[in-house]
Amino acid sequence: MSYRWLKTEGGIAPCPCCKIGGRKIGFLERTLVEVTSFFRNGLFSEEYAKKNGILQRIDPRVKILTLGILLVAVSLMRHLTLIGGLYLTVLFLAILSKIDLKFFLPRVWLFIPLFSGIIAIPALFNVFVPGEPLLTLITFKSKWSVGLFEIPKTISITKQGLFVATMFVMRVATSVSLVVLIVLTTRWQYLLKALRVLWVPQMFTFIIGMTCRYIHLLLKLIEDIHLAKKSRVIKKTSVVAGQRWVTSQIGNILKRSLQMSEEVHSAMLSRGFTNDVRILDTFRIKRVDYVWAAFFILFTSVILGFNSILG
Amino acid sequence: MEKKVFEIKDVSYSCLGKFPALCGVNLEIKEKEKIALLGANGSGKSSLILILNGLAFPQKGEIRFMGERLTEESLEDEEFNSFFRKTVGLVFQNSDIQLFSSTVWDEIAFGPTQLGISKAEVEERVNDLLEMLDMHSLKDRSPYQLSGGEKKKVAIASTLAVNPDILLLDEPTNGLDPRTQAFLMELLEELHRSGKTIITATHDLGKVEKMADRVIILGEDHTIVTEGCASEVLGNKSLLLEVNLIHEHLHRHDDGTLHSHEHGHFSEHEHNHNKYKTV
Ligand SMILES: Nc1ncnc2c1ncn2[C@@H]1O[C@H](COP(=O)(O)OP(=O)(O)O)[C@@H](O)[C@H]1O
Ligand SMILES: [Mg+2]
Repeated sequence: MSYRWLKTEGGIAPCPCCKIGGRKIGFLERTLVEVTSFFRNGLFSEEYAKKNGILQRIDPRVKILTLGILLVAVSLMRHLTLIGGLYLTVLFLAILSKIDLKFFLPRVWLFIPLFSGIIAIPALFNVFVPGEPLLTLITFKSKWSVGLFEIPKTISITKQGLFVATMFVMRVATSVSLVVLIVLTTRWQYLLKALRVLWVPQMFTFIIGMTCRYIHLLLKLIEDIHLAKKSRVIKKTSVVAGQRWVTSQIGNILKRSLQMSEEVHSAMLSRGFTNDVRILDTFRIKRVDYVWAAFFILFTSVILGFNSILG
Repeated sequence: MEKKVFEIKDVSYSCLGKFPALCGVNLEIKEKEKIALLGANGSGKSSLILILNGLAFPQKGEIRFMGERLTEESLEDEEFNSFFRKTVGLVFQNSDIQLFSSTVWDEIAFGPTQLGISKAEVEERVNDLLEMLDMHSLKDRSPYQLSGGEKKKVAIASTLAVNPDILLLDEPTNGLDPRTQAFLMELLEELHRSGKTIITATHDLGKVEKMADRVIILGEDHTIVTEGCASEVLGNKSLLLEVNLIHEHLHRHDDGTLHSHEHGHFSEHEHNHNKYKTV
């Protein structure tokens, strides 16, 4: 090698600072890396789907159908105790499927305010659901109206309102838990395949599957670019420069992902793809699936029976 | 006399219309041949392979497959397309783009399924391939959860599942460990003996003799510089030097003699000399 600068003379020079942990990567960059690693490791890890629990053993189609029926039953329940019972059943199923409740509960309840808070919270008040007051919050001099709503003299949380809101939250919680349970105990490729076999159009699920694949390639690309940069950076860059780097990379990534999608398309063409996908159905119903389905249909009918007896 | 499968006449191709990749290439490929496309990086090997697989189309000249012109229009014909895809299979240089299904099993089943092969037959093929490549434990994994070498194996399996009569491979041994490389060479040999036509793009001189009876060399000017039987072409050192497939290498031996010889880019870097027999 004849370049003047491409030499190591007198061994490796001592590090002038040698304060490990001195240089920090920028906030934006770090966030990008954290987001990508969350998706790559958290969402796609399929940790629970690989466990040997009860729901993992059920055929995905049967699982989706039976839990789907239960989902409908949940929306028909008019009694808090029955919904509560169903909720406990779902938790019990989660335990039987070896899902850590410490993992399961926070994830479900984190989403519930998002779905239901907007509807449930107003329902608490006598403004929307009139009834016996439980807790009076504000008392006005007289009643007044805003548009269609008549604001009563006192604003309070009513017994009926509390019931409606609790019912609603419990319904949402049970439904969300059921869906999360299906997703956690089924590997996503089988989930897609089961949906496809059941009723969802093939092209739709195929596109979802491909999208997941692209997201993966993209996330990997982002991580690789980040690593490539990290291994070359010597000086700490300014925040502005760092941000500029990130934005320029986003453009770069888009360009590369476009090229990638073209290449993937040609790889599909090469193996005989002609815009109408054919999919192989490889699921097989086992005895455990029949037992499960029978048990579940019985269980749901009993619950629905109770629901109508109780009125 | 075996019949011609590919006839390439005066083909020129440039990527995106401005980066030249092939210039005035003439080539005939016959059934049951075993061919290596040799050339330095960027000489146009991948481009030629894509053209042979009907994925890229030359701007100038023409290519015929079994006497039929291979164009975007002719491949729109359902019957011809199906016949062509069944007959010609390609293992891409980049396995990442070749693998798009959700599981290894689905990936291998994709090709035969698209070509309308029965479910029982597809299942048999996939399971046989998994066994042959010793990948049964990986069948439910997603292709993105595999190492580079494993991806390559899946890519090869997914191409073989179609049972193509003509197999195109773009730098298939890249990134494989020596044992898998040896296995692949063996496999290609076996496939060739079973009657398949095999066309491999490579720049690994060390493997060419095993991979091919006929060698085609693409120069850095994107033209075919020469073609001939493997031993003949590989013996022509000055030509190999000229197309940048080997480079002259000077080094001093323990006894102080200066020694110069040519070698390829990869495997031949590790070699032994008898120090008294230097040039
Ligand atoms: N995606 C691309 N965009 C622009 N030019 C490209 C692209 N891919 C290849 N080329 C050009 O085409 C030429 C041949 O490339 P390629 O067929 O990939 O060569 P090889 O496979 O022998 O390394 C190269 O000189 C390269 O500059
Ligand atoms: Mg190439």
